[in-house]
Amino acid sequence: MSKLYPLLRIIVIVVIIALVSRLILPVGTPTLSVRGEQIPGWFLNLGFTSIPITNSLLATWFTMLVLVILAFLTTRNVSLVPGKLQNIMELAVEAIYNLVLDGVGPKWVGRIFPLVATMFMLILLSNFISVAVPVISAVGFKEVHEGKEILIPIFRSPSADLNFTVALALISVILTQVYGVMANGFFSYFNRFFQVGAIIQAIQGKKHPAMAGLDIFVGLIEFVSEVAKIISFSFRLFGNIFAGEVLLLIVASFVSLGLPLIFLGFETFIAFIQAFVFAVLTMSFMSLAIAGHEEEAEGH
Amino acid sequence: MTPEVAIALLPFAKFLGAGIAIGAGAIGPGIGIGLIVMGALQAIGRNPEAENSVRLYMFIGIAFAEGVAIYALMITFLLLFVL
Repeated sequence: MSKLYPLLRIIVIVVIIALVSRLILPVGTPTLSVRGEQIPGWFLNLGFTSIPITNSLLATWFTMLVLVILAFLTTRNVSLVPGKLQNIMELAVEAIYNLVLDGVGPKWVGRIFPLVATMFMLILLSNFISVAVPVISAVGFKEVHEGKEILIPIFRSPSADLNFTVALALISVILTQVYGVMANGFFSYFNRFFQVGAIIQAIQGKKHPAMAGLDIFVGLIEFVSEVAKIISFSFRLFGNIFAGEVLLLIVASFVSLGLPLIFLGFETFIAFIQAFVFAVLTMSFMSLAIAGHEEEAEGH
Repeated sequence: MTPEVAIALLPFAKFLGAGIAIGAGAIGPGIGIGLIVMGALQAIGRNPEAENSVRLYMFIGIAFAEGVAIYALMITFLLLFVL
């Protein structure tokens, strides 16, 4: 009991602060939008067409700018005895490099590491924008929409926009196929999905026709799971980050002080884990794609 | 049931469907993530030196199991905001 007492006191104080803040600082119910809102009057003119600029696009540019500036500051004076910033960046890059080296081996690490590291950093920064959503969603333009005045936030986390995550998922899955073809050759790689080899073996009499049919069926299932990767990649990131934003906004609209801190910490953890998972899954799918042929050669 | 009543009941059905979708959809992934972490902790307990690689595969497995819950969550969002 004596050990529990300080904890109990903290909990009581937090609950009292939360209840008081509910009375003194009431917060309105948040407006939620699944898609990125277009900023009124902002267009990117390309001559033949004009692209509306959404707030998530702005946030993506901001993220890119931050990454470029960070890279510039880090590599401006690279020295053998690293400074503070260089030290931190070296630590991060080295950790990712060792992870990729363990995953895909020394031959392919030069091709796959830059992609995985870039994806990790871009997703991590854009996820961190989503953690700041209680602040960010209060800054924006007012627009009259269907008779009601609504606030359009100037920033929205890119990961909470399906366009961004689908684009990343497409890059990841298509490059996986490209690396698979580069490592195994065109026919030998796509033989994994459309098993022409099994048909030929069945005609030659080396394989039972039923087994060949089973092989073809398994290959088709493999192909479907390859396509489903796009969906699962994009919806995993989008769902996690958007659900996190909704959670933060709703908790902040219940209680404006104290309690949201716990969820902010939790969402920071989720932001890191999701970036990590996206990068690591990309890496491990690529290592499966490039290693398939060698495994088969060992098996027979 | 007259058409007016059916239209009046539509939001009710929407909210009910959204609640059931995420509520039922979270059961399986919850059990799955529990099993994955149980296996990982047992593996680490038996072989503490393998902690780093076990942690990596644990997170990959959790991401797969969680993906199913995310699909349920997408259905919920669809029902609430889009449809």
